[in-house]
Amino acid sequence: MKSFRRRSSHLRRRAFTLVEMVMSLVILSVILPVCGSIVMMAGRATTDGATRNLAQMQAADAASQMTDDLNVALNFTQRTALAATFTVPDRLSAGSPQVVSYSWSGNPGDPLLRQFNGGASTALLNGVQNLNLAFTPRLMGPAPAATEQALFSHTTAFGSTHGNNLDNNNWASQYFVPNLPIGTSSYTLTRVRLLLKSGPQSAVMSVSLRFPDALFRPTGAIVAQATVYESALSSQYEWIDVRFTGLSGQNPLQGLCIVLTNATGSTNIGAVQIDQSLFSILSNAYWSSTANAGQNWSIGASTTTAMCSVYGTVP
Amino acid sequence: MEATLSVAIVGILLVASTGTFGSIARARKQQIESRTAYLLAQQLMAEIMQCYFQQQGSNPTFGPVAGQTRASWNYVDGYNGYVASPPTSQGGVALAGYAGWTESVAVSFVSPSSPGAIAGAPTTLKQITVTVTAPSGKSYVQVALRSQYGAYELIPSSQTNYITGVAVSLQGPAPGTTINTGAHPLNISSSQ
Repeated sequence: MKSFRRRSSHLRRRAFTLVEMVMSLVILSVILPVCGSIVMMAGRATTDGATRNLAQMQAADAASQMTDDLNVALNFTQRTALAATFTVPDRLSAGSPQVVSYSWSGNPGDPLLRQFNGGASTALLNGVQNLNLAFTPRLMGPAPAATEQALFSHTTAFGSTHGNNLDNNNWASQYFVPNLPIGTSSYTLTRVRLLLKSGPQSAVMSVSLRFPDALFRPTGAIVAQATVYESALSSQYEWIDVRFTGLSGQNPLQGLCIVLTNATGSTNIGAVQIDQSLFSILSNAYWSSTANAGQNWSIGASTTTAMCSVYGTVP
Repeated sequence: MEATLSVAIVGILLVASTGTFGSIARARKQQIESRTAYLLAQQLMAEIMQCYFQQQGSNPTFGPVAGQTRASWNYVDGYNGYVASPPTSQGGVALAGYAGWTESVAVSFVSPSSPGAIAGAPTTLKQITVTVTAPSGKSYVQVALRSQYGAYELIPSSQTNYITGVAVSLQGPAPGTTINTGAHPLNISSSQ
């Protein structure tokens, strides 16, 4: 009897009491939701990370394919922030390059499309939010020589044409302002074309470019000078090119005078054809002459203009 | 006593499971970071690789010319010593989403016969090292070599406008997935 009581007492001590059970349940009911929410948060974070990782990987794959094609691009026919079309070296043994095109509509959510050689466009990446392509162009190789163009020209008479004889006292000057494209910062004067004929002697004519004064008469400031041998002229008026070198960097707003004088030792040096009218012939064109070897020049007149052209290049 | 034990067991399991999740998340973050760094470095490297070996002109000097900016560097050593944080586009505009990132460039002459060896004097080979440092502090390095006699140095006989570089910025469907990378088309053989 005594041993039974001791055994039953021992059994009672090994079991949970109702209070212990209730306490455990209460504690677990608090801990389990906390655990569950922590696990859920961790799982969600992991899932978000996986989604972002996957999305970035897909975008990186698409970008890599694009740059792989771009790295071998030969000739671009379309270059915008949202699209590029270019040729790539022959991939089909067709004997000619193929065309690759990448484009995105600009609407967030639309796919990035790739088209190969005129085939159907395929979506390279869906749900694109933005695309920006920035191209770096570079001008390579030697610059082409600038094309010579007429900077001033009077080749068709407005009034009546006359010959203006030139000798060691009678000189002539034609003032002009070059006609240049808007925005031209400088130009190079290359040649002057005059309608000249020879005189009775085989003399030498000097053709110089000089700065004008306020009345469009030539000053003594010579910009450049060239020589015309009368022996090279015809007895009839013909166009003669007088070439100048080293006249780059000219101010496009600066008028110049084409001055015809005798070279040292020459007397009669031929004649230049001029156009005379009762009215002004050209704007910014003034004729001036002297009968005393440049001591006194006539005031520039717009009613007379030498038959001439001025040529040059614009950078 | 039993309740305490059960709490301890549950706690250990919880720490272990969240730790596992954390490791996975860190690994994924690391992947994203390394991929971002690689592509970012590639963008800058592509921009540098399309440049000339040295300054154009009769008397080239090594390194950036005083007063010039990145947009005007068309020779690889112009980028020597370049540091930007956050990284910017060639035009100097900060790239969105790269706060805390840094990119830097080092250019040096190396021996043509042993490109791993930095040369003290000018040679015909340059090593370009682009280093991208993530906000975590980890650095990612990309190295390229550029020869004085490479295809990029071939000058066409007539003046031609080439596309020598393309910067690509692509944002995928998820936020924070903008990819910045670049290409340097080797299109010397064809007119543009």
